[in-house]
Amino acid sequence: MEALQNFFAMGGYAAFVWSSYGLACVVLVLNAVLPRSQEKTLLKQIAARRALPGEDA
Amino acid sequence: MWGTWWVWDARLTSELILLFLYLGYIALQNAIEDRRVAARAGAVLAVIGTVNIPIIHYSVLWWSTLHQAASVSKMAKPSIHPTMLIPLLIMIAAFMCYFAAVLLMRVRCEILQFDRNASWVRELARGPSGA
Repeated sequence: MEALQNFFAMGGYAAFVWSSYGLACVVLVLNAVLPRSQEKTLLKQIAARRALPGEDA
Repeated sequence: MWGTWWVWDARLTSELILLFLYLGYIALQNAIEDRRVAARAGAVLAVIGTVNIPIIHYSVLWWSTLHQAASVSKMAKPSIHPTMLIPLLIMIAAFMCYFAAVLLMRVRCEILQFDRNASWVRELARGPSGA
């Protein structure tokens, strides 16, 4: 138990170490999620635009 | 541990210039209205910014300030301990794969945006994936 606590304490640098891990995780997830949602919105926009009258394929 | 979070070390300073290049690239991209012109201007800035890459790499050799000299990317045996070298190499490979995947996803969006009038994009948008 104490070994685990020592591990999480990171020799007194826990705030730096774990916030770096957290920030890296957030950036990695955002980078994976943002293009996906952007692609979905783009395709939706293109599909909606095509449905407008007066525009033929 | 170097005992400091910032000094005007050659490696740190050249990396700071790289950060400013990134910020300049983002600012330039957003400042120009026309997407094609913005992409061209950004590409020119990116090519010019590449000059900084060898400077960053050799900064630890040209100016001996706080940062140690090359410890991994050199011809001789790396002076970093294997217990750190192996995870480092694995993480480098993993991040490169991740970068390639994200790059392809973003390029896909760019192609869809630029070719939005092409018939294959319209078909794709009309299809089940776009609904």
